[in-house]
Amino acid sequence: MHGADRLSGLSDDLIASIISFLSAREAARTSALSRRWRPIWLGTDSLNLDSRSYGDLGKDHSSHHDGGGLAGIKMNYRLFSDACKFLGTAGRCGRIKKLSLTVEGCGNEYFEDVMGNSAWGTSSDIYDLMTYLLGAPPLRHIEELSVRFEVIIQMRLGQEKLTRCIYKLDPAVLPRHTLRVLDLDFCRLESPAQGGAGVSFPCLTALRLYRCSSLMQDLEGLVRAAAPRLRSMHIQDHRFYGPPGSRSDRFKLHSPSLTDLTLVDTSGSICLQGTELDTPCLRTFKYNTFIFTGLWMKSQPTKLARVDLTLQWIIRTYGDNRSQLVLPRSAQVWQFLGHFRHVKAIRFKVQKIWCIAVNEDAQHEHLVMLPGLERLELEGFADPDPRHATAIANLLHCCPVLRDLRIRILRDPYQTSYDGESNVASSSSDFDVSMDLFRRRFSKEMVPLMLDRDDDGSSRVAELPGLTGCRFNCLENHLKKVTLRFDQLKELDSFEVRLAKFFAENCMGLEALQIDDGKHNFLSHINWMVQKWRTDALEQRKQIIGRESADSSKQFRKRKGDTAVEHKVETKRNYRKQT
Amino acid sequence: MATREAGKKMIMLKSPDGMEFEVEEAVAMESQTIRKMIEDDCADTAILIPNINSKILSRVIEYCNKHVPTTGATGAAASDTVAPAALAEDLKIWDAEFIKVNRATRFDLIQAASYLNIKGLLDLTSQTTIDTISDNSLEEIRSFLSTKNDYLPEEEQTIRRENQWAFQ
Repeated sequence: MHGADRLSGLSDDLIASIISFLSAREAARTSALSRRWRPIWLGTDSLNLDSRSYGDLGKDHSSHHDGGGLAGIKMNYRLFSDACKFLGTAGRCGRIKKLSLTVEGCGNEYFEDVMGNSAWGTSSDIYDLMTYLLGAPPLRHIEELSVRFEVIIQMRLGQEKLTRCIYKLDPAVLPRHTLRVLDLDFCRLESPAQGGAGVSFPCLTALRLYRCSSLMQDLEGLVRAAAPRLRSMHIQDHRFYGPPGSRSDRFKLHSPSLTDLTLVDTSGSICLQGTELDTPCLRTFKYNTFIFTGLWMKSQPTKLARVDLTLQWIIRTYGDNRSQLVLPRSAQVWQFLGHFRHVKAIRFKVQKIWCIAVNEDAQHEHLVMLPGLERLELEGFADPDPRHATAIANLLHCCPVLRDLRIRILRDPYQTSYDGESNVASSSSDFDVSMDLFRRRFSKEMVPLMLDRDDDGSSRVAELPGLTGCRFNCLENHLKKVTLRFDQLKELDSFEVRLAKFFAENCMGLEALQIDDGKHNFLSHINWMVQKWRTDALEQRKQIIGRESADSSKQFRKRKGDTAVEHKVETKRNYRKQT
Repeated sequence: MATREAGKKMIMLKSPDGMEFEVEEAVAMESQTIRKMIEDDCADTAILIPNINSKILSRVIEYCNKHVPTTGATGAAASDTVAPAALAEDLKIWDAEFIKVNRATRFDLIQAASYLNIKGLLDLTSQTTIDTISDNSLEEIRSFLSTKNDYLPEEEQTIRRENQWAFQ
């Protein structure tokens, strides 16, 4: 192995920086590798405590009855004493810049025991691990702090074992003058003393909170205190607690320096009245939310380049066990999109694509032009509904300079959940058939199958009312790349196939049309047809242009509309006869 | 490649095997080492990158290209697909693909990232290396690294006793 020894060829400093990714225990063990390695681990600048590096001791036995309750306390002692020994080893050089703590387990009690300070009360007989660590002199000036809980989900214990709040963190213990990165799971941020006035985190550039909780004003205050350096912020499933009255406020996020923001609410447990952003420097924004919570932009982020939106739906259940899927209304969707009218790239995920469709009589009122949008990724479910075509038409109309369009149509979980297994079986048998056909592709009986693809049903694919025959600026002048991905294509004459046909026939400047139809049998791929639609359309276009140069320009305008569609079909038939 | 729009300063990077790479200044400045050279005005025409061959250098540039934060004006009009500032998760997925290289290449990348001082790339390559070492016994790590155990048996015992907490 020539390359195998390269790691040893690196300088000691470089090896130390690699060791800094190891857990404290594993880092110390490298001292026994060889004489050269012996002192290197003392130069690392990270202390990573990880319950997973302790083998069996690190297993959460809290689900067992035989004294498993002690596991968390044992781990607490072990992490505490190993941290002391790691920091206290003679010969340690350099300063510790990063402290990370990772605990793996399955339940609240275990996590709370390991941390030694539950959100609901402190046990006096074990160490409050974080407070101790953050108070230790070598760790008083750390730049990065990460606390992560890896939850092993045990089905039989159910969801109530997964908690929201494992550790109660007092911001006063944080090394706020040096802290650059703060990354917390399941923590409850306590209110700072004296309302937090005058507290600042002058170096904080990245903040990530996952399933944490706080008072709304405290999180707002933390963000304000992190001015002017805060650049990246990721807040996922945060819960604001507090008196009922305080929850009726909007969550106001004011950060003059923030460039990357992620706000995710997947649990729906946040009772948010909406979010108000005052983030003028924002560049990327990921927002995963219920449409029903509002969004306000206090300042226009002119540098915003990329937006990733997911609009979720709500299943509303009634007393008599009926349930109803509540989807966002199209006016809400467009109002939402209206915030991002200068953005160049949007990824948009919505439950049903038709949610975007606006009735013809309301279009001038609701539709919002997105004059800068160059790349659009759309993802959603498509059940047989004529409004899907309208939705696509609305989007094409509103994105006049679109260059790159990606549409992914998912299988509907509510329609296929029952026959899910049989689907897998049939797709794998499809694949076997396909492989078999492919192996025999040069044999005699296959030749007609491979060549005679004229009667392939492509003529059976209907047009899309609302889309076919409409004229779109982006289609004529800008769109270069269309990618279509279908997770499950059931029948040939479906919305998906019609859509593929539409783009193949109508998008003239196309450089690439990629279609992944999710089929496992290569002979049933729709690509065979797409190729044909494309050639037919181009052929027809050539004829028109040829005639155009001879005739007057009046005829050019006549090309659109229903007559053109008829004409097209006719030409196609002629073309067939010729071949 | 299509023509560049005006207003973007280009930097020429040269590898010792004679290949030249023209990159945008902003991309090159992902490397703190190059940034310093540019800021100190030591880089008017071309920068020779010693010790990093063209194969590795091209990969490093690929990485920087992906990770450079885009400013308001992108070169979208010239390229065939629009590549705006990527989201953090997309970058992670991209990184995971990027680092699927053999061990020798990865160590070369570590060295390049260290020399050029590109923190993100150094973190990525180090973390990947660590993932292969973690959870292995010392013997396994030694054989992975082709490191010979040059301790005398009693010496190794002493070391283990010194850091007994880590070996329990």
